[in-house]
Amino acid sequence: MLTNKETTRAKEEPSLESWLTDLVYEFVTDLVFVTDAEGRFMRVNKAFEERTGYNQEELLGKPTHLLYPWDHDKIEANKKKIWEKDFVSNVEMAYLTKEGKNIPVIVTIGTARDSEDNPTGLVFVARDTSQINELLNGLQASNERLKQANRELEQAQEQLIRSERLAVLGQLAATISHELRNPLAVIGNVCYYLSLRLKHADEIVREQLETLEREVASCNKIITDLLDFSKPRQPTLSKASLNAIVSRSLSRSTVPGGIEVVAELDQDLPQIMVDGEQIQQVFLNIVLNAVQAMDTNGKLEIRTRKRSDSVEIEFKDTGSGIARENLDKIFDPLFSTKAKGVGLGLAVSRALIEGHHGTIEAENGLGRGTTFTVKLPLEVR
Amino acid sequence: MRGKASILIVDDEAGLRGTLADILRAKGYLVVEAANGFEAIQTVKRQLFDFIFIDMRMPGIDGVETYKEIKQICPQAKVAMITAYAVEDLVQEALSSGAYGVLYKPLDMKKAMGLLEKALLGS
Repeated sequence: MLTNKETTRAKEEPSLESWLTDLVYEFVTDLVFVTDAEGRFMRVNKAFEERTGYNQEELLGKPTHLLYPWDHDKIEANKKKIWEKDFVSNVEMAYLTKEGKNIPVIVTIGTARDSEDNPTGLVFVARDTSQINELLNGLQASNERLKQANRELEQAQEQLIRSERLAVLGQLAATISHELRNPLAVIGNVCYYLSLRLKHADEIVREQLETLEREVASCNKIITDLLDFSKPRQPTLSKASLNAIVSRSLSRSTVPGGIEVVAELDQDLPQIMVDGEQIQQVFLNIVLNAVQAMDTNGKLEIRTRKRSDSVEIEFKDTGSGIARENLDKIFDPLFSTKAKGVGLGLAVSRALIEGHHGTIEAENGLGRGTTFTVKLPLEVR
Repeated sequence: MRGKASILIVDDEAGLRGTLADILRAKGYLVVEAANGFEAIQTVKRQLFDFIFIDMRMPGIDGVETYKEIKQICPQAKVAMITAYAVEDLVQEALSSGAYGVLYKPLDMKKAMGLLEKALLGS
């Protein structure tokens, strides 16, 4: 019971309680509203009005779930808990503004009680997290960018290590290759001499000599690949027919009898500026790969055609194909799945085609086999 | 002409020089060998040659220098340079100074004989 004197003073000076209430309704930047026991709006603060676009008068007595239609069930389900616990914190919700916009909020919901401690309603104190979310998204985006930059750096570093390694390898290869060419040349000369002198020897002797010559040639190919790879040569360009280079490459390849070769050469293919020797070397490499992939039986189809800005040469075999995990690696130097071979043929091929500003790609067929596609630009850049 | 033509082989590698000489002799040519540029220059001062094979890389005077000297003394001889490298600035230098052709090691003997016969026919 208040005395008269005290009542008079209370009228003159606002009580701490009403001062706090004013503070909450006028100055607190969190969004606050109070409901009655049935979940209808009783009071909202200024920050709430500003942010949601509703005002106190229009909301009075309306069910609060118009504000959070998506979270209505969640609140209902937790009502009992809220009643008992006095308050729950950090409830993530979305408020719907009068204009139909969503505001993400984190809410503390408390229970209002009368003097007998009976719950009379709920108090929602919400913090607008849209700005925090924006900040978080921004942070996440810059984090992604950082990660990407880091990945790129790592790749660049790997590339650098690889090119350094290759440079050392290249120097070594060049020296050794050159030194090997002299004795190889002597063996080649001796072969030739013996075949001159043994023209009338029996078939086995002549076969042996041919084997020797063939092996010298394959040794020389390894050396050529190594040298081409370690010291790439600028292409010497002249106008040439790609069809003629395909035919020449085929005539120089050894294809087992069980392999059928079909060439569909576009007769209207324009001549383009290429280094004929280099392109032939690439085609020889591709044909050799195809033949090795097919063993003794199969079909090799070669097609040439004109595209809008390039000439395309396709080599399609029915061989064993390339394992999916290796498809990206086959043009890498020193990569080989064959028991025989250094793994430079396709690496050199790619380098030569890139030297012509062209592209070379490998693709597995649907059932089996591989298709290599070389594209060379119509116009020299 | 063939069988009587005289050929000089200049190469510091005895194996290469010797085997090429054997082949050419087996084909009926008259062959003289020189183990370096200096020896080659001395040789052409004493004797005329129709065709000369010169290795590009030799200790002392290199192949191109040797060729330039020999050209002064024996201008009618056709000269083929031999090299183990496909990429070589010296190859261009030799060709632009008038060398007849370039052959690569290991020698493609059909090509080498073709070049030789063509050169001798033209002379």
